[in-house]
Amino acid sequence: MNDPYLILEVAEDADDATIHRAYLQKVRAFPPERAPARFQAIRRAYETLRDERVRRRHRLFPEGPPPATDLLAAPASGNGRPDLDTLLAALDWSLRAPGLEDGHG
Amino acid sequence: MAKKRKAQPQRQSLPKLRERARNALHRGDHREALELYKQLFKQQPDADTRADLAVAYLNRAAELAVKGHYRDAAALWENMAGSCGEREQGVYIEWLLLGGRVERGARLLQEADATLTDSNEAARLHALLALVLLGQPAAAGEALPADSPLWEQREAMLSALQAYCAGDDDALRESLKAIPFRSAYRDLRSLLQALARRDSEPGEAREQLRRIPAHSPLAPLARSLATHDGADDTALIGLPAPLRDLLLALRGWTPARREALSRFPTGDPENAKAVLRFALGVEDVDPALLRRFCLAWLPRHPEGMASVERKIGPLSNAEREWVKAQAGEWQRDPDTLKRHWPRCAEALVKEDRPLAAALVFRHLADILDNARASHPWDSAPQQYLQRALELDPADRAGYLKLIGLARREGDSKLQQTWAERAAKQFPEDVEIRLLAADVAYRRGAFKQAAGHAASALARDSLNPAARSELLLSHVAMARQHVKQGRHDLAQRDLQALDGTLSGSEPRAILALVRSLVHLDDKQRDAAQQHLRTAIDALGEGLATRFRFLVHGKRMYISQRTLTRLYNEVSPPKQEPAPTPATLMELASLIRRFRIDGDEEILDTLDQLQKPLKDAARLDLEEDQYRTLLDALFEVEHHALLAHYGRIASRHFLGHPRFLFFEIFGRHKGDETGLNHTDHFRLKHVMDVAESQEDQQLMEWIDDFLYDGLPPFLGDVGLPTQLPSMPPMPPEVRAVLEEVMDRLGTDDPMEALQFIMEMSDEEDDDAMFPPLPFPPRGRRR
Repeated sequence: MNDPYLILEVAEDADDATIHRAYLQKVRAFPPERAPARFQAIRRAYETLRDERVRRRHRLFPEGPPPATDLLAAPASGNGRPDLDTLLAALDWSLRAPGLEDGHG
Repeated sequence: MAKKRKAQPQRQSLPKLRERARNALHRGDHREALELYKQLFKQQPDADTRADLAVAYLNRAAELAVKGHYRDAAALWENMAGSCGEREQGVYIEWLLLGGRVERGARLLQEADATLTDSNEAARLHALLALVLLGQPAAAGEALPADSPLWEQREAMLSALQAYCAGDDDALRESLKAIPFRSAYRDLRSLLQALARRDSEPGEAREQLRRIPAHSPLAPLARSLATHDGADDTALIGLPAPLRDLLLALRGWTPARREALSRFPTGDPENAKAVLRFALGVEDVDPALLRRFCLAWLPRHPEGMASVERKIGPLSNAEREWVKAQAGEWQRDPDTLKRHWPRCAEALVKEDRPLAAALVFRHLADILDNARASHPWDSAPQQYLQRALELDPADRAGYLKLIGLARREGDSKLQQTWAERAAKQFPEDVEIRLLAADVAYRRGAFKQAAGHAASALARDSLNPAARSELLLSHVAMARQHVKQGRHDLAQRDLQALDGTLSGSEPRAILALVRSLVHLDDKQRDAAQQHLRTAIDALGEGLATRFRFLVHGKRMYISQRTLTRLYNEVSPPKQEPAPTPATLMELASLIRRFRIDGDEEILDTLDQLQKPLKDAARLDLEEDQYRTLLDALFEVEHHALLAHYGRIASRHFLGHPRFLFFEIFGRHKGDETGLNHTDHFRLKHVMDVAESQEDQQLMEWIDDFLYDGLPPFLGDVGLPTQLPSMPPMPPEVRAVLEEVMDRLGTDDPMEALQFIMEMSDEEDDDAMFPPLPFPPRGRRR
């Protein structure tokens, strides 16, 4: 995930204070000793959005386009419950999937 | 794929046939193994062969089942039962149920229930039947009685599934209560419970999923859910579609967005067209994110702008120009970016975003400035920087950059304009103040320079640069007063400064200058007194004498008058011999004094030439020679440069810089007098500089040689070969042609080299040190 707004989970028009708050919250959730890579990404994102001047610079001259996976990482709007067809299809898949121990096929 | 050729029945010896069948079985070729065992069984229908044939049937059937061909698998099992007797009935029932022959499977399961010895297998098959009936109840036909409890449990489970999907957890709990502990639906009940609590108790949910037994038909799903729950979305791309869909649905992905994932660009991640096509197909994404994403990718595929606009709405003019300008940068197309960045900036101004516009102008200025090599006289960088500062007057770096550019162009007026504006914008900024002081000083605005230096010193009282700038400005002002005959003003100004400045050196310099003011004012005693004070603080010696003479000459006091006074206060015979430190101080003074021009420095160096040449006996380190020679080269004192260059070259054989300095000094910086030996020495120096990547030395040699080479030797350096005889003075041509004749060569370079080697032999070059590099190959 490259998009700093996505990493800090802040809106594009968030102000300095909001961004700082989001940064602290994220750092608490992903401290460097437990999630070093995530922490680095959070640090980088904060450095990119820290104040209006750097935000403007980032908007006009981004380092490169973000990976396509950024779009997939965006929060989705569903309620987290599958529809019945999706659930039944997954159940059916399981019946036909190779067994784990003594399954035959 | 081409079908395997069926094994032809051949009359083969039984042992051979058996061996082939075994081999096929071992290498996993179950199809061939089955055919061979069938042949074998026809020829030898004994119990062992029957057992082997049964294994071959079961293996082949299992192979087909893995591929999803359950009906074929079940048919093979039936063939096996006909030939070899029934065995492994459990798998048969499973294949019947999964292959759509549910009624027969259910009936057999009821009949075999008592005979299935493996309880796990029985549980698995019952669960399988229950799960199959969940979606197709009619498939059971008459196999299950209408009063079978499974029907009731099925209804409850369907309600539970619907309640879960609807997010109605109370109804889910109620429905699940109707599923008894020993129900065939118990694993599905556990799975639903785990799914329902995965948001509130993710750890417990995962644990519950893991507790679903491995023999359960739901085990693959339960394990996958537990394993992939926290995985990145992209890690799910390779999973089977039904499983991936469920996982993404659990993450809140709508069906449309899930569908987009199937079009995820898995090829070249830089393929902008594919990425944009994918992005435009993704539903249910924050519009702001999608807009950012598409804008970031559009420069790589600007042709997609219309499609993107259809999806995310129209782009602003500034955004359109931004995309085109960025595309120009991506394609390294200077014309495109020069056309679209200014348009982008002006569009931003119209959109009332002056700071963003300023940023664009600065960016453009940077790009153009970096391309200066090809457009040295392009004034666009300055113009864009000025425009940026108009839009964003608080941009400190912009002022510094603009002042730097103006300095490089030698435009002192523009330098001062922007330095003054910067100082006005950042009155508390010491660095800006010092820069403004320097710019003002170089323009001769000494009072202004002193003002800026005083402001800097007021904010940072220990700043040595501010102190030095203040002193320099006041000394310059004193000089002006003296020129106007206003000695009183000069003294007053210097005296006032004396109270402001701290440190022995600045005060000593003040004393020295005050001495000069008195001297010019014919107050000899006071002049002597101040000079004594200065010498006491600065120390007797060549460097202090140098300071005094340069300052004095800049006040138009005659050399004779200056020398007389200095000798009175510090007789030359008592003056300590120079040390390496003296020479280093002198080098530093030469550099510092150059700000007011070279004339008085050169004049004073001429005057002090004898003691300075005598000091060359000192054993200096390499870096000390270099410091001194660099300073002498900057001020172009040829005699001392040649002298110290020669001595340094002897001390450090092969040192390219020292050799260059010596030659440059000896020829007084005039290449026209260069003889061939020196030409070739310089060529070797150039080679060494090139190998050492000493760009500065290479440029010096280039500058030195540029106009001085004979026309046929090219413009830079000395080519090793001449392709043909270029135009040259007739007398040179005559000599060269004669030598070429004698040598029997058509190559003018060879002749030229011969001439030089000959001149080398009979040269008067004995005064030069031996060449520090191997001589070029000789040809006799």
